[in-house]
Amino acid sequence: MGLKEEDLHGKLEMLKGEELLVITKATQLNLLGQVFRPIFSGTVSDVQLGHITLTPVIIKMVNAPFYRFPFPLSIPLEQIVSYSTDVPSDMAFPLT
Amino acid sequence: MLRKYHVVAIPIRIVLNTFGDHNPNGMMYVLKENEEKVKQSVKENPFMPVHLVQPLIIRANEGDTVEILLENKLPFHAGLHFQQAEYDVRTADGANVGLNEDSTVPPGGSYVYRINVVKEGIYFFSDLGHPSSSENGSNGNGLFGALFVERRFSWWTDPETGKPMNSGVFADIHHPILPSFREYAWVFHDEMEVDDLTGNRPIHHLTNQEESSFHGANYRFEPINRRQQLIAEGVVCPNCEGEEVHHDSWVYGDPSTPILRGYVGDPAKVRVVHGGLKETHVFHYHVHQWLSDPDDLESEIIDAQSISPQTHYTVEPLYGLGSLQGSFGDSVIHCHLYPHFAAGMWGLNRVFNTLQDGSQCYPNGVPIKPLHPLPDRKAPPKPTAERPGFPNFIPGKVGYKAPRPPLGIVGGRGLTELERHAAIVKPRPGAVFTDPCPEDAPIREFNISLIELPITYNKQGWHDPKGRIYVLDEDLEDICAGRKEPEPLVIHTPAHTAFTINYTNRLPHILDGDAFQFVTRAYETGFHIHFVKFDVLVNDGANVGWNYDSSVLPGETIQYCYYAESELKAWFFHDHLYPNAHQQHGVFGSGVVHPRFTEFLDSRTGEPVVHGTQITSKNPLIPDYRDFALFVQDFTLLFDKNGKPLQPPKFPSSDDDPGLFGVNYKNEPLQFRLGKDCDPAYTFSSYTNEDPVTPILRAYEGDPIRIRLLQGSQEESHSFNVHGLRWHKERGSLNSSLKEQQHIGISESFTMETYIERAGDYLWAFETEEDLWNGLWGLIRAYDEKVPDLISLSDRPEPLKRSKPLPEFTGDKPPQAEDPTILPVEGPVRYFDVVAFHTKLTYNDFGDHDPHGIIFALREDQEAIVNGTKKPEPLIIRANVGDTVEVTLTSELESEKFPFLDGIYPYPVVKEQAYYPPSLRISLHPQLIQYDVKTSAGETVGFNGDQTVGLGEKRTYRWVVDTQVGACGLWDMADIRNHKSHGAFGAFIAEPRGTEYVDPYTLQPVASGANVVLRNPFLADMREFVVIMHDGVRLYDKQGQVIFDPVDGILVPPPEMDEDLLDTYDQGSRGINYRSERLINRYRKHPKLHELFSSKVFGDPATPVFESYAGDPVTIRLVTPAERRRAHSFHLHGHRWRFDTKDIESRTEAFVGFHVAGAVKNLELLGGAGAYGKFPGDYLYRSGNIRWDIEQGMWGILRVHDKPIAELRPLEQ
Amino acid sequence: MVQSFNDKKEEGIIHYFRKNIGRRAFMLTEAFPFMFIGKIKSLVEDMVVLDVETTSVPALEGKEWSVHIHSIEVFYIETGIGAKIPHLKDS
Repeated sequence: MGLKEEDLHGKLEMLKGEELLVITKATQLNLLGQVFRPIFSGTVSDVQLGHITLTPVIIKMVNAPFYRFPFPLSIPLEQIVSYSTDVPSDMAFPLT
Repeated sequence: MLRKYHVVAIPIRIVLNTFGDHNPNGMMYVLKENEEKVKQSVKENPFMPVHLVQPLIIRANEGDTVEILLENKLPFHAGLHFQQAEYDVRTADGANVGLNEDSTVPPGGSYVYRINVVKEGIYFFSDLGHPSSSENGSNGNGLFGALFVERRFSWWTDPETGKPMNSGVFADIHHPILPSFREYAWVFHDEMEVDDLTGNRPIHHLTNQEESSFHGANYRFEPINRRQQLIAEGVVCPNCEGEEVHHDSWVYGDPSTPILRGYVGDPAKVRVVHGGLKETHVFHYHVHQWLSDPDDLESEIIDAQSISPQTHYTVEPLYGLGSLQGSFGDSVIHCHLYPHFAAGMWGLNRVFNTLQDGSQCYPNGVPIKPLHPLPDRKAPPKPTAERPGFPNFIPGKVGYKAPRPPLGIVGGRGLTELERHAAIVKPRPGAVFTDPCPEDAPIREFNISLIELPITYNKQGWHDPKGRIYVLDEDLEDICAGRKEPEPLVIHTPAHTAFTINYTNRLPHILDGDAFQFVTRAYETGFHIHFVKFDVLVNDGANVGWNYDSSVLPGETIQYCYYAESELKAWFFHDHLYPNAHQQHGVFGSGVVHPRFTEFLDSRTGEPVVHGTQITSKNPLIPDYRDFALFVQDFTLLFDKNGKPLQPPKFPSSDDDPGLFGVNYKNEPLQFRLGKDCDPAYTFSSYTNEDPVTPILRAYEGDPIRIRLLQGSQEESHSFNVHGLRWHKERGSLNSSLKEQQHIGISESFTMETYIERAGDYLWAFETEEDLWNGLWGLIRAYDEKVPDLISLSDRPEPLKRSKPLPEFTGDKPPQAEDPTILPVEGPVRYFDVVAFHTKLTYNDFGDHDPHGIIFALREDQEAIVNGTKKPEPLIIRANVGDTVEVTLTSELESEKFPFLDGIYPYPVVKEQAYYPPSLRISLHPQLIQYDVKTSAGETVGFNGDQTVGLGEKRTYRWVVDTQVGACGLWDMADIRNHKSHGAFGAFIAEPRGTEYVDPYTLQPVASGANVVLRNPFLADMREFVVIMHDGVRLYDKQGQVIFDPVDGILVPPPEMDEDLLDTYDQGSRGINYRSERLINRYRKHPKLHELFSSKVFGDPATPVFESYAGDPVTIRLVTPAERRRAHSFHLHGHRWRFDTKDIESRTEAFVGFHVAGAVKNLELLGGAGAYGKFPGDYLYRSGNIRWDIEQGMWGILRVHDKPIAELRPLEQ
Repeated sequence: MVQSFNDKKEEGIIHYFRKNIGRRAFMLTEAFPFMFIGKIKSLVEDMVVLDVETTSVPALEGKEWSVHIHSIEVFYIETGIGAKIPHLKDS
C-alpha cells in the first residue's frame, strides 16, 4: 500500500516544471464576490506529501479564462478531483 | 471609507449626434470640477456633441459610505434618489414622501446625501422632484446617472490616459488580486425632446413626417434617417439604399453613439442601465454571451436581455472581449426592437488586435485614440506595415459600402496580401481571421434560402402577400407548391457541432410597397446568428463598423461557419441588413443545440429530421423529450381576405405600431370564435369552435417537453403564459423558482423544460389583452391513449390502445367538466366560498371610480362590501403547502351592469375591436399550484369540459398546494375583454406548512386580505404585503366624465399633445389593489411638483400604506394579473431583495422589471423593514415607469415605525 | 499500522501548516466567507488558527479564526522565498 502512495508522490515529483490542469471539489469558489469553478492551470513548482504548488497559476474564470493569479497557489491533494497534463494552459475550452 | 462627491444639477444643451440633433432643454448631473468646463465646451460647440455631456457615472467600493453634495441649478426642486443603497429614508431619499422630511433641493440650494453602498453593482440615481413624464419633466431630459460600486480595494483609471479619474462612462477597474477589466456604462434612455439644426422637430426625409421619438444611449443617438439623408443627397455611397449601411463606418465614419473599446480577451463589464421613461428595451450584443446573474454560475447564458425603465444589470461577457474564439473587430450593441435600432439606439464594441498608442488612424484618416492595455495582461503587438491590425488590413474604400469578405461568397474573391498576413493559418469560408471550430468537431451542413411567398395566417383569410421566410433548399419546391405549410425554420443539432451554412438570397431585389410600407430596395440579405461562436469580421451576417459586409445579393450564395460549443438554447437567426423593412414579414428562425448524442425524429412518423417546430428528441443517456418552438410576432402586416389592410399606419413606413400579431405565421383571433350562442366563455373551446390554427403542441401524458420561446418581430413586449404547467426559472438550477409566465422581447430566447403529468388540453397564450384578443394562443394537448399520428417516446411505456374515440368539434356548448370533488382527498382541505359580482370601485378620495367594477369576494364579505362597510379589495386567499383547496365559485353577473353590451369599448381600445358581448359566465383560474386541467383550470379550453359558471350557478375547483410557490395570480378566463379590466382578478398565496394568517392590527385569524402577519412555529413571524399592479382600467372622475389616462394624468403637459403619443396598450388608468393615487389630482389641489408624494400636504394616499416596525421580517408578494402589453417595473425605496427567493446565490436588487400580465414575484426584504440599517420612515413603492405610471397613481407607501403605536401589534420574535 | 492514502496526504498538509506557523497565508474555502488572509498562529489538531487580516466580509476581520485544514480548497503560504501575498487596503 505504502509503495503505491510513493508512486503518486513520485509521479507528481516528475511533473515539476511541467504544466498541469487541476480541478478540485468545490462547486464554486468566491474571491470577493467574483465566483468561479475551481479549475487551475499552471506549472508545478513544488510537490509535498499533502499538496502541490502551481507557479505561475491561471484561474479559469468564465469571464477571464486566462487570468494569471498574482501569486502561486497550493492545492491539497485531498481536494483534487482530477488533473491532466495534456491540457496546455493557453488552450481555450468551454467553461460552462 | 468615506467618499465625497460634489454634484451639480444643471440645465444643458445636449447635442445628440454630429448632425446637430439636440435637446435645447437638457438637464444633467455633473461633478462640480467639470461644471464650468462642460458649460464652456457646449457654448463653443453648439451643434456638435460634447464629450463631457454624458450621464454622470461616479464610482465607489463595496463597504464605502458616500456623501454627495448636490447643488441645484435647475429652476425646480430636484433631488438624487439612489436605488440599491442603504440610507436614512427620512433625510437621504432624494424625495419628499409620506411623513418624511423633504430631501429634494430647492433651486439655488444644496444638500448632502449620505448613503452606504453594501454590495458591488449599479446604484442608479434619478430625480423625483419633478416626476412629470412630459417634455418638462426632469428624467426625460437627462436627469439621471449611476454610482458604480466596485469590489473592495478597487481603483480606476482612464482607459485613454491611464490616469486616475473621478467620473466618466468608461473606466478601467483594477484590483490587487482580481483581474483588471474594462468598465463601460451603457445607459439606455428614451422619449427625450429632440430638435434639429433649425430648432424644429426632425422630419423624416422620405415620409416628410415628424421622426419617431428619441431612443438612444449615453445622451447620443445615430438615426438611420440622418445617415440615409447623406445617400439621398449624393454625399456618400452611390447606389446604396440606407438600411444595409446604417452601421457601416466605411460609408459614414464612426457613429456618435458609444464605442466600447478594448483588446482581444480583455475582461469587461458592461453596466447596462435604463434611465429612460417608458419602453422596455432589449440589450443585444453581437458575438458575446453572459450569465443572466453574474453571481450565479448556474444561471442562464444569454445574449439578449430585456430591460424596463429604472432597472439595470451587469453584462460580463464570458471569456472576455471576443468571446471564446477570440474574435476581433466591431460587434454592434443595440436595442433589438427594430424601430428603436433604426431610431439610433446602437453603438459598437471595438475589439482591437494591435496596440493603439495614438499613432494610428482609421481608414478615413480619423486618429485612433490611445488605449492603455490592462496592466495585468500582455499588451497586443504593435501594428506594422505588414500587420497593421484591425481595421487597417481590410480593403475597403472610404465613402463606399464595406467590402465583401474574402472566400465566403461562392465564386467570390481570395485574400489580399494584407488580409493573408492577418488571417489564421488555414483560412476558409466564414473563418478567415479567427477559427471558432475545433478540428475534431463534427460538421453539419445546411442549405438555406430566403424566399418570398404569400402566407395565410388564419381561416378567415388574413394574409401577408409578401411573406418572407427561410427554408431548407430541399423543401423549397414543396413549400412553394403549397405541399408543405410555411413555418419558421428551426434546425436541430447536438452540442459540439461545427456548422456549415450555404445561404442563398432568393428574394427579389425589391420589397414592394403597400399601405404599410414604401417600396424598398432590400437587395442584399444575410444570416445573422446568436449564441454560436464565429469570426465577427466575415461571418456576422451583418454590415457593422469597419468589418466586412457579410451579406449577399439576390442569386448569390455565401458560406458561413460556426461552432456550438455546448448545449445552447434556441439560437435566433435573422437578416441584419434589412430587418426594419422585412423581418416582420417572417424573416426569422432558430437553431436548437440539444444535448450531445441526441437524435431528432419526426413526431408523426418517427423518421429522422433535421428541422421542424415540433419534433421528438431521442437521447441514449437522458430522457427523450418533445421539442417545440414558438415565435411570437408583432408589426405583422396583414390584409383581410378582400385585400383590406388590417391596422395600417397613418402613412406608409410609419413605425407607429402598424399591423397585428402572429405566432409561427398564424393567429386565431377571438372575435371569430363566439360560437352560436355568442358567449365569450366558450371562445377557447374546441367543441364550440374547431381547434385553433395556431400550434397545438402534441405529446402523451407523462412526456417531458421543452418549449423554445422566441420572438421573431418587431418592437413590443409579450407575456407568455402556460396554464397548468410550470418550469424552473433557471434550467441549470433546481434551486431556482418555479414559473408559469415569461416576459419576452425580440431576440430573447427561453427554454421551458417541464413535463406533462396528466392528459388534457393546456392553454398557452401571450396573455396581454390585445395579444390574446388578436389570436396569440394555442394548446398543449397531452393524450391519455395512443393516437395514430404521434410516436411514443422510446424510453416511456407505450401508450394504451385507444379505448374511446377522440372528442370532436360539435359547434355546441362544451359538456360540463367533471366534478373534481368526487375523488377522495388526503390531508387538510381549505374551502373558499367565492362570489363574483358587480360593485362600484372607488379608486381614490378624489372620486375617480369604476362604476362597473366586477370583483371576486368571499361570500361572508359580500354583504359588507355591498353595504359599503367594507372597502372592496382584490380577493387574496392563502393556503399552506400540503393543503387541498376547494373554491366554490358563484356568478352574480348581470348584463345591464356592463357598460357596453357589444363589448366594444370606445376607450381604452384594443386593435381590431369587434362584437364580443359580455359573458355572464365567469371562472377563476390560478397560477402555479396544481390541478387537473380537465376539471379545475378555471377555464374552458380545447376539449376539456366547461369550467365556467353562469348567473346563479356554482362550480367547485380543486387545487393542490404541493410546493411553496408563493404568489400566484388568480383571474377570470370566461371573458377576457369584458371582465378583467373591471377587477375580475385576485391573488392566491402558497405559504409554508403550518402557517396561520392573522390581522396585523387585531392578531385575529383572517381568511383573506392584502396585509397579514404570517405565523409559523418553525419560522419567524412575518409581515406579508400583497401588491397587485394592474392597468387598462376605464375610470370616471367624480363628475362622471371618462378619464382618458394616461394623457389626462400628465403633469405640466406641453400645450399640444402629439395624438400619436399613445400606443393602444398604453391606454387606460393604472391601479394598485383597485386604488390609484393619480398625481394630477394632488397637483390640482396644491401645484407643487416636489410635494406630490407628501402625506403632510395631502394625507396618506388611497393606495395601500403598509405598516411595519423597523427590522420586522417582510415579504412583498407582487402580482400582475391584468392586462396590457406595456411592461411596468417596480421599485421599493431603500430596500433590496434576492431576485430569486429560492436561490441563495441570486443577485440582490431594489427593483423588479417586466411586470406584465401573468408576472409574479416574491420579495423578501433583506434586513426586514428598514433594511439592515433598520431606518424608520416612509418608503415609497412605485412603478419605475416615469411615463406613464407614477403620475397615473401607481405608487404607495411602506411605513416603518421605530416606536410602538397603539394600533399596530408587534411581531412575536 | 499501515497508513491509508488519505491519512498520509492529510498528515502531510497538517505538517506543512505546522512548519509555517508565524507566516502569512491565503486560503479559499467553498463555505462562507470564502477567503481568509492572515498569519498562522498555531495548530489545534487539524484546525489552523489564524490572525485574520482580510476576508470577503469586513466585519469578520481583525479576529482570530480557526479553519479546518481539510476544508481548504486552495491556499498559499509566504515562505520568505517567492511571491508575497499583497496587503489589501481600502482605497
